[in-house]
Amino acid sequence: MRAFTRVMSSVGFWLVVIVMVGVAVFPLLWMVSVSLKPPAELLSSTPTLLPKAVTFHNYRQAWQAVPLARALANSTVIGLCTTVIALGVGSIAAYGFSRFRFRGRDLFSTAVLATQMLPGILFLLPLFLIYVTVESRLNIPMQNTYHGLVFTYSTFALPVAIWMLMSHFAMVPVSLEEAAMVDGCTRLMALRKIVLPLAAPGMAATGMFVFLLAWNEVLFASVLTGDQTLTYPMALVRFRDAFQVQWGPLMAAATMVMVPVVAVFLLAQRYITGGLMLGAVKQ
Amino acid sequence: MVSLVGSRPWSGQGTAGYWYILPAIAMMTMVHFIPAACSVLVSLLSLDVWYIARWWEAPFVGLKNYATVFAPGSLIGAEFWFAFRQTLRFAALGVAGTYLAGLATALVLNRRFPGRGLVRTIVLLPWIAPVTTVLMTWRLMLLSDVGVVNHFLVDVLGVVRERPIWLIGDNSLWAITAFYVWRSWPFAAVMLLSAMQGIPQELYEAADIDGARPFHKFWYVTMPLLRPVTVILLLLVTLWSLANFNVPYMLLGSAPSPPGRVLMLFIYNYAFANWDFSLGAAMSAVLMVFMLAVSLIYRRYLTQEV
Repeated sequence: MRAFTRVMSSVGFWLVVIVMVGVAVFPLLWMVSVSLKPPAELLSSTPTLLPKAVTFHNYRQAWQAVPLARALANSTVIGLCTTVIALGVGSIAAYGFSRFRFRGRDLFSTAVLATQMLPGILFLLPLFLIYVTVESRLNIPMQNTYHGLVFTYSTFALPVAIWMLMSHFAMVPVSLEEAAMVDGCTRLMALRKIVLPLAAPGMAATGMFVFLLAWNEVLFASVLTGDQTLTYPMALVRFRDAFQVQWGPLMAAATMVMVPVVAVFLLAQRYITGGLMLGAVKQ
Repeated sequence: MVSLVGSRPWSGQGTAGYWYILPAIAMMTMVHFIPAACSVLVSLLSLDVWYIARWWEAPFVGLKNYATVFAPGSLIGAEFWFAFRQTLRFAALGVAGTYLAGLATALVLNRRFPGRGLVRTIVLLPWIAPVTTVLMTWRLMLLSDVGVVNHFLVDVLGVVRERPIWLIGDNSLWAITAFYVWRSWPFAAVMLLSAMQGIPQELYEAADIDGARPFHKFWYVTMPLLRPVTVILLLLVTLWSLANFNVPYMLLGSAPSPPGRVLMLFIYNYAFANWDFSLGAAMSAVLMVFMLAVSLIYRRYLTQEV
């Protein structure tokens, strides 16, 4: 009887594991599968996970159905600029917060965090009005421009970047910087040569997070982008003709972005979570 | 958190620190603090499409917009509170589902079994995959006539006879909730798992000596020690779900049927489709106050001793 319960509980355990893995991975597999199906098979009411016939028709079609190349380029440029600015400004601020004690430090760091508790729509309406005003009064275009989106996204990514980087900087021993400064480094040089390299895994994780934040943004993109600055999510929404959504090309366009992101995650996972710090310092 | 390496964390004193945070604070002032103040100001005006380029000249109407939102008889007020209720249901179901699924997954992953590392990586995929790509996939999967979800429910399992319509009508709330749980459950699992792995093994050994059964160990040792991370996790997921926009927008479309029109989408449509910015700003302010209230309630639990 004991043995029976043990076998049953182990069967139950593996059943739970299989369901978990299946639920997690099925939509991703489905995306790839549909992207490879010929149009006739797409709208079958008895769909199968393995395509009955494999075609790359949808992958060719995806580039013609919407300005996908333009959208991918736009999102990449905007994502990279956002990451550079958010990491640059964010790491300096995170360093200030984690190494200096000054009046109002707690107030500022709380204010940074508090912005995460506010709904995005609260900022969208006035930002839209402010951008319209800047355009009409100062003659600086803001809507439908790269700099408008980059400025908006990098600022919205800042609070998260600062908080993530603060926890990584806290793990870098102060004694290392002090040793560098005794040897003649200025504080900024110590930040650049000691702290940032040691916090590199944290920087990479934060950078990936910020990049994906900008890449997937929908609320501001739906108002601030136009034909020239169409971002990838907005291009996905456009995969439809007069009658219906073009699911095949849409899933092909989605797969082309999902697969590289997942691949980078799988490759970098050990690096991001691994301890570069372990063994680096004898304390 | 700060003194992880056993030395003092501070190395600088005085005003030098301000220079480091100045660029960040300046940017956030322009994009966060001034617009938030502007939003409150706009909610006190009567701003429509005619005043957009010179919005500060729009007539001041005081609390009239708030009166419209809170008036029990007004059509807009009724629509707003319906959207508010739908948002609460979405958040409550989404948070509960995310937490329970995350807890179950963390308990599974906390055991040693062959292939654990692989399973942990695979379970993280919903959280890693670009959200817009999987949203569009879910939309296809949830289609009534050719979607694989209905194929599975009707033809394979046979639990329902008629193919349900998921993306329009009452079921759309379930559709966005299901996606939301699928998306954020790995996050909950990872946070809970790392907290579980920090629980000292001696506590379980002591419980064993006292003759505790597995459930008692879970309930009296694991759960109390997971409390701090639970409060933070629930707070984050609650705030994210209340302010979520892209899930209903990409899954149901920009103007979904009322049951799927959560507050963010409702306000968005009100402001940018009807060009009634002031009413939209008043509604956003109500949502903001609600989210701040939620944060304060969680904060009380966070500061309470275990």
